[in-house]
Amino acid sequence: MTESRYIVIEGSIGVGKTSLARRLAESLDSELLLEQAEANPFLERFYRNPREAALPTQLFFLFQRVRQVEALRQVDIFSDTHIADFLMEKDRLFAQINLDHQELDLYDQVFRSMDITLPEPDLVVYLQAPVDTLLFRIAHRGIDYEKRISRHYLERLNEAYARFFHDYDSAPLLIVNATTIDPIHNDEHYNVLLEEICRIQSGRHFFNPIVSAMA
Amino acid sequence: MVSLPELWIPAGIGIGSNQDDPVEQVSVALRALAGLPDTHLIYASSLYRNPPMGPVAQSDYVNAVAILLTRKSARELLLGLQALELAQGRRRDTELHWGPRRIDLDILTYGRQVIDDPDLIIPHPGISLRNFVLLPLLEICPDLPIPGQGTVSRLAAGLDGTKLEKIPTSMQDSIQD
Repeated sequence: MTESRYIVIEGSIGVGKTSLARRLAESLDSELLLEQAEANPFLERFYRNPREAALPTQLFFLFQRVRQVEALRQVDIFSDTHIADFLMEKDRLFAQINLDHQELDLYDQVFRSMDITLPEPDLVVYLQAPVDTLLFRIAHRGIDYEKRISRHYLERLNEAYARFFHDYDSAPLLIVNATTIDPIHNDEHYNVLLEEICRIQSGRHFFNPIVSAMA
Repeated sequence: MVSLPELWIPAGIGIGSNQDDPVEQVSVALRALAGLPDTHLIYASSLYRNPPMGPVAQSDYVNAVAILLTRKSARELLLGLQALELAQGRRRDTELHWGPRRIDLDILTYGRQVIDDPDLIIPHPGISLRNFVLLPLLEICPDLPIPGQGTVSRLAAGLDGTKLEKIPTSMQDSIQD
């Protein structure tokens, strides 16, 4: 791989974005751009009392993500491959779920005033998994505040992601059914996915190797 | 405990083979597990190479473990696994105890249930002694509880893993070039 690219891994909480991003960064010898949710001082309070802490949680994430994306623009994005575990657009996707009408209005005003230029990924990998799978993974990855995440919240999040990517056409998209593969631990699954990620140049693709192997 | 069919139960599955290209056999089994109806694959471990146990001379085993979420009862899951073994060409009628086998699928854990039937013992009685079960489990799900025995990481703490060899990736290097 000599060509440099900007690859984004996206998907719901617990689906394995960060682990996959780390693994890819190692394989492709690239820079990692990771979300820093643990640095958000409001997040723990948000999971305890979502309604009360939603706005500061969202605004903190917005400022944090904008700073990260700006930093990405300042480095020469064409000189190195970058792997990120978030898409800037996720910020508003979460805002829509978590904020009430007036808060969302305020959020949008802040967003517009920031004059954000969204970097265009060369590929977005969208990991999909059903709520039960996410709940199990969240329960076993040992982030305590996440254990308050409800089934209902994950259902809404999954729907929001599905809607968002249904209409998404800003970058080539690889939709991965993460219910039938474990690219984090299993080398065979990972290698097939890596090959696909290296291959895709444009368009919209579905990656579901197990089902196709069984058919 | 009565199993509730509407619940998704996490189940640990052990996979082993030492015949007819064991790496391929274990990979095929993992794909088949992911395709079981009423079941999701949550985690699938790396593949591990392991010298055989027991008195019969035979070639090395390849082992892996998987965590499934299933709506099947433990017994339905057992039948599902036996069907997969048959489909993959295992013949229980001619094989030796501890002898070579093409594919071996065991239920290691089924939620927090304890089952002690003549043909189905859960948690699997060999877990705490077998590094080729515990070390792959440690890789994918260290805090999985083994009912009556503690978590995987606790059980794995005193184990000797030196004879177990994680099978390295072959394709990664070629893609980077």
